[in-house]
Amino acid sequence: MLTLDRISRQFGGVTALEQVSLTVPSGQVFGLIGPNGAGKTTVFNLITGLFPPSSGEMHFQGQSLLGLPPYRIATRGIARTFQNIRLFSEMSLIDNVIVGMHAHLDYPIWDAVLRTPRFRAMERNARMEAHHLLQRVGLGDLSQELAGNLSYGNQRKLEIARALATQPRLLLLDEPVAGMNATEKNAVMALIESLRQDHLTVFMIEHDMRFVMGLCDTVAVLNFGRIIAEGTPSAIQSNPAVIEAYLGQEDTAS
Amino acid sequence: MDWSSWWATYSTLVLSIGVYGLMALSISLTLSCGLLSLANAAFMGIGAYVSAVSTLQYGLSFPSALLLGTLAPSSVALVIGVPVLRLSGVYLAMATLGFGEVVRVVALNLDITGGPLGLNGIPLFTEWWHVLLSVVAVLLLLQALRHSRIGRAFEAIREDETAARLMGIATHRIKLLAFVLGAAIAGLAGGLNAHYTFTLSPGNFGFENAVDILTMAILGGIQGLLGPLLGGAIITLLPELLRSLQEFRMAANGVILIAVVLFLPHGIWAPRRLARWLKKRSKHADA
Repeated sequence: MLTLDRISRQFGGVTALEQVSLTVPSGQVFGLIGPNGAGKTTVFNLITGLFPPSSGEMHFQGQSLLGLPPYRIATRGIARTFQNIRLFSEMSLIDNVIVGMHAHLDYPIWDAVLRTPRFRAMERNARMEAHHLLQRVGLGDLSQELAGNLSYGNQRKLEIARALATQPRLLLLDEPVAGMNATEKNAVMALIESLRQDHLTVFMIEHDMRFVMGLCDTVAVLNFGRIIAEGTPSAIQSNPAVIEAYLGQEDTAS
Repeated sequence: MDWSSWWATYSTLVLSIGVYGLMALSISLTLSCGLLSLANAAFMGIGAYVSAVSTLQYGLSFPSALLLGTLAPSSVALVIGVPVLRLSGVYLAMATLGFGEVVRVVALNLDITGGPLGLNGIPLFTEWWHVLLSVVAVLLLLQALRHSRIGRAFEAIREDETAARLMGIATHRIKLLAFVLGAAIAGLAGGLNAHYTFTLSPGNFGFENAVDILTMAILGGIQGLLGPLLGGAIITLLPELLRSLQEFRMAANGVILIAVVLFLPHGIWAPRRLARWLKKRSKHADA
């Protein structure tokens, strides 16, 4: 579904990513892990078109993503959440979700001005759908609340609902359970599991190992901008290179 | 004082309240996208000159003159908007102020605009109901946009442009729409203005006017559509109300503005603050 082929990215003289190749297969939950500063979020920023790679190729459903502006990549079917939450905090929850539907609410502007039946029907459907999405992430009761008033965990859930509103085929989750308590984490785990049942492909960055190991079909490990291992969760857990990246090299003298 | 003599004295003031209400609404469009554009006074000037020349020199009817006065600045906005809206923050403000200066200097040097003397003897076509009708039409239009994907996109762009882009919003197009629509409204206001003031001169649409228009929108608040109208009315009336202060009135004007910006950062008319306040009160009442 998504392939990165020898992607590199430099910022000034610093190499953030070096020859990263990844394939996210359709229908899988794919995990990207790695120590802080390894370049994980940079991978997402490149995929969503926030900046171009210095070299390499990216394809989504067989088509190149290079040179596309972010909004086009979003309409192709890639949605994301953010590590440092980026909600529209002065808008209500339901409006945040409806903003995600922007590209699909494609009535012409005069329909809105004249409030035609088509406009009303599309807006009503959008509102209903947004309610469903809020219920799905467990925020159904808070739809009129302002996004900025939500707890940290609920803000992350709202980001997922907003991303789902764009009707993605690939969902990029950047640390979806960071800062959440155990109950909230379990709820998000169940949510991602249900997305998998709906054949949505999920690509996530996460530090919580229990979460990653419990959900992911495949895990790739990024360290200092390079992929150092890729495989099933159990294979990754026992991979010496990965253990070294996280815990440091064993002292051979002792 | 009977009605007709009252109107003879104050008609210009009353019509100006409406016209500057339109101007404040026009700049509130770009402000609601988070764009600090100060080109609206210049767009108003283009609208005023184009429509005044149409009636004065080409003998066009008032409605067609107003239409031309609306189309001309929006076409200009469409052309300059593409490069200029790549800028943001203070850089956009500087570029649009620069554009305003260009418009002023062009009006100062062209023959058709009457050069530094400006235009005189513009027919007095503007009636009170023309202004009222324009304000109502613009209000209805903006109200409809606010409650559509366009209005939500404006707000999303203001809050977090990057997130808006990643949600599938073609932000450059939405910002251009706000800019062009704002220019059209400013042009309409300019056309109406020209046909009750009798004269136009290049100085009418310069830096001071640009800042005044911005002040109206900020003072009134841009959360709701009543805010800009209120701000336009206050800034238009204030010099008259403070007439007794004579030479100190501009200073008093400034003090009032500073107080509002300090104590009411969302402007005078802020529906969300009102809603919060009412909620708090009803909670107290329940307890």
